[in-house]
Amino acid sequence: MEEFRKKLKNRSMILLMLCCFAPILFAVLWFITKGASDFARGLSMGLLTSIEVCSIIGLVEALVLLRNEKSLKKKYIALTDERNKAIEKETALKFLPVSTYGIGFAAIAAGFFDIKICMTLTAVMMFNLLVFLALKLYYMKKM
Amino acid sequence: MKNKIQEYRKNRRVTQQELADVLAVTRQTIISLENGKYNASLTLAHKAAQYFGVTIEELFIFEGDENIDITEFMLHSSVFKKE
Repeated sequence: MEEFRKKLKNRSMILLMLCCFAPILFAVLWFITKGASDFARGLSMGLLTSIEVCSIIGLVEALVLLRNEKSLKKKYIALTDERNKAIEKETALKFLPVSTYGIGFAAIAAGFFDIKICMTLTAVMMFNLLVFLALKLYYMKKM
Repeated sequence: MKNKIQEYRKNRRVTQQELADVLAVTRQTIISLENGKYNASLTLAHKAAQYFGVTIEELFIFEGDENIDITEFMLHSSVFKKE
């Protein structure tokens, strides 16, 4: 529990920094993406905005939890509950074949219309499988 | 794997929430355990057995493949082999 409280304090500090430096981050991003297409610029700005919004929400949540012992314990139990962890594991386990087959079929279907989309989807599928393989090798050594 | 958690809990007059708080799990986990939808980890089984003051075997019922075949074990174990 104390470890969790420490973790939460560290997290709130990082989130606070992210919130404080938001104007600088926006300015840097604006400068870096100068000359890029409106779409790319909008996309990167949107991503940063969403990160900032999530940071604010996370920061408020962390501060509320740190001030309320009962809520902190409830959150800690919810996060460390073994059934919740088992559900997450099972979900992740089922997600890989479903997403791989789904993207694979989509790539085949896209092949009839647009080769670029087909190649992109194939690359995504290969990336998914590579990440899976890398993680599997990592955990095989770790456990 | 079946268990007697509900039986022991009711005997002790403890609510699901109280038991969940002691074992540091959510109430939903206790419900799933009692309904046999979820099998507890060794740590949780140990904690639950400790709380009720019984052994794990008394609290959890291991059936079929969850037990080793003792005759098979005796056949292959060097302890039981004649020299």
